[in-house]
Amino acid sequence: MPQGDALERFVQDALTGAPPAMRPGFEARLRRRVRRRRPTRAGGRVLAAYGLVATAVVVWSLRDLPPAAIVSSLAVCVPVAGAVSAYAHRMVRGH
Amino acid sequence: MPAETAEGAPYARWSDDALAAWYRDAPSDDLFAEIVRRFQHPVFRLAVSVLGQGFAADAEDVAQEVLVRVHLGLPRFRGDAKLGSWIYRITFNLAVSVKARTRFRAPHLGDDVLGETPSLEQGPEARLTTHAQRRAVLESLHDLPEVYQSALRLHYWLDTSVRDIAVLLDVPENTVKSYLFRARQLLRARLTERGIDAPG
Repeated sequence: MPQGDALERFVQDALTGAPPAMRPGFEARLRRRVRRRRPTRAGGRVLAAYGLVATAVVVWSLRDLPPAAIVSSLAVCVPVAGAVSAYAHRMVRGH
Repeated sequence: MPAETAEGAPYARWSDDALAAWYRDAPSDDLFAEIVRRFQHPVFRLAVSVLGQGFAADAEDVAQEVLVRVHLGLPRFRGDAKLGSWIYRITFNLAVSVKARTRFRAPHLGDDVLGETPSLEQGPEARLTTHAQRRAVLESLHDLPEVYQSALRLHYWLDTSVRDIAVLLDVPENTVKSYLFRARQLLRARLTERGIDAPG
């Protein structure tokens, strides 16, 4: 049975090899990951236009529905959309 | 975040907790760069100690992920614990969960992990025995509780002092000594079960 110093020598012999080091560019890669991503001015305009068009389409397509149906569908869809959006944001920021 | 925070920059002399408090109130790229400069190597070292030999790339991924989480979590960090303790706890937990996945992916010890080929001055039989002993030690090591494995690798492989291990594992130095003692006891028992004797 390995005893005292002999066991320590066993462990040292088994754990050979130089300690690993991080590859160059670690900080640059990290910087890219944590950089806050914002749309460009043109991108912001595209997103705003998309929002307006989407709202118009929704209003137009719901025009014949009873108000109770519109309210209940909004009550379901808006929180779901918000949660998905928040999750997507987290994913993008985290990776 | 600037590429480097020069030595002598104002943040370089701040305590970790002062950095965290200031970052919470007024996050800036310079402050985060200083935090990265201070913690990237210890975090990588701790991740390597959990993941083991042959998993340096995974350890680096863990270090990246930890620092991203620190970046996202620092504004909400209330300072109940020391900044280092908080960061090392995230590191240890994340490395353990990554290890569960990497072991599933590569559960066997390859020759790269087993290290250098034993000296050619040894006879073939002795070389085979050395190789088998090394494999037995590493396999027995993998059966130990995570914190014991980490302490052993930090001490015997990464040449880390008991004091520094205590900081990384966020325990008193005496506890580290007790971890090392208990880990050796358990390792000895595992090796005995495998019929391994001490080298002559």
